[in-house]
Amino acid sequence: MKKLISIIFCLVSITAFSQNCNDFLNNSRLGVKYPWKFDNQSKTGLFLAGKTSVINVVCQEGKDYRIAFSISTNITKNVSISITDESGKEYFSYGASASANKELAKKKELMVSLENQKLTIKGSKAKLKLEGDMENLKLEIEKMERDLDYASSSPKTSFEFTPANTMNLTITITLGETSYKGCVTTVITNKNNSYN
Amino acid sequence: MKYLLFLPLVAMLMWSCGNGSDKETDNNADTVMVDNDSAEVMNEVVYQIPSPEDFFSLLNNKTLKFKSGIVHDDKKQYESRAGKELNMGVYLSDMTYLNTFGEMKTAVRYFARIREMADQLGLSAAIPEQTLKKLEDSSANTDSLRKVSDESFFNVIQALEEAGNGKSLALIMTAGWVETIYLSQQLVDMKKFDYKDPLIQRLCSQKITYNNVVKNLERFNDQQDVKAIYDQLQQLSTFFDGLTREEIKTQQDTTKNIIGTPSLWKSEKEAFSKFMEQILSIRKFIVEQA
Repeated sequence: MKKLISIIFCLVSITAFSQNCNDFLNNSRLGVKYPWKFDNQSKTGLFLAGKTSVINVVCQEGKDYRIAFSISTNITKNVSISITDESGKEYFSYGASASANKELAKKKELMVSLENQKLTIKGSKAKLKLEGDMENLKLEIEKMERDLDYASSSPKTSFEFTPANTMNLTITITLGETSYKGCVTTVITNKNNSYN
Repeated sequence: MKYLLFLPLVAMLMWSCGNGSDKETDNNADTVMVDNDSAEVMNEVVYQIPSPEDFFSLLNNKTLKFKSGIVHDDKKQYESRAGKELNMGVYLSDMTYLNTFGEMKTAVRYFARIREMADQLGLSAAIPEQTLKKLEDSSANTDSLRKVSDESFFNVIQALEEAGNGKSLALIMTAGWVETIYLSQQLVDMKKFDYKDPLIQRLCSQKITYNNVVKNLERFNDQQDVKAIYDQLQQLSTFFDGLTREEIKTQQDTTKNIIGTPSLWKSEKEAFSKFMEQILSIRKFIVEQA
């Protein structure tokens, strides 16, 4: 009897607590409300640390789109997402986007190099100009750090838009360094717009 | 020990509560307990293709007239797996076309054919028999059939993805796309060809989807049946590569977040006629599979 109870307990608990990424997408699909319609280009998947996936999505002229992201809470702070077009123009970003982090690192490197120059520079005029440049750069770095902080503490998880023409959008999802893994679900919904 | 019996019940209760809130909060971030064995790690690069419904819903059925006799014969049987997969895509598109123009009775018949093919491909669970019965019993309307076909389409995609069967999915989606283009082209009045015509514009804009269709097939290109359809599709690149865009000025809706620049696709009548012939030949290749 004890054995049977243990088996029932284990089975029910597993059923109750294990849910895969597809279930996440399924639930999101059921939550779509009229006039929005679930778009089958939606995608879900498991992400491990350091993994990047790129999803190419066709957005058709004549429709309004909403792209929303659901992320497992254990990896929320480590995920970065960007939506770009074929020219590389970024329309949406979530979390510490890779490009913003790269830009910050570059500016910090430049600051170190300016500090080194300051030690060797001769002439008060040149020194003054250098100090001015350093001050501006310091302000830029502080602003970028603030923006990155804000982006990771209160991020937007959806993007609504109307394509002026049919276009391919690229969604890049990266899970940074973390000891966790989790699901990232891209839920795309659309509706015909009034110009159609 | 007695209390241990209640634990599973508590677990189930917590589960059902969690699921309910998922539906209500729509797309908000939430926790998911990942079952690592069943969860699929996403591919590095994914090329998505809109469903036939997404294309047909954009056609103006007030100005376009329904053309009968252009959908594929729903009695044709296929022996090979690739033949079944490709033509399941064809029938999915045919059913959507019929439904778009209110041809309910025929559309339900095509839905029955799709269900039969799903059965043959081991996807019975994706389109349960009750679904078809419900449609046949009730005097179903366009909306209910659209809902059912959307759901079935999603279930087929899910089932194939869960089984890691990306190749089958690529074949179904490719054939569905070809049939969608074929049917839409049949509605074009070539005597009055004008590249600015909304239907011709929609067809030219498929250049974007074409790129994804081809890239999606490339992943399985080392397999004979995929390579065959991939090679067929290559002939379309001449038409799509030859298209140019002409920027246009329109009054922008300031209440919307509009991205991109409004433009028209420029195509010549001769090139478009050739494009129609090429699609016809690819479609023939698909429907004449063994």
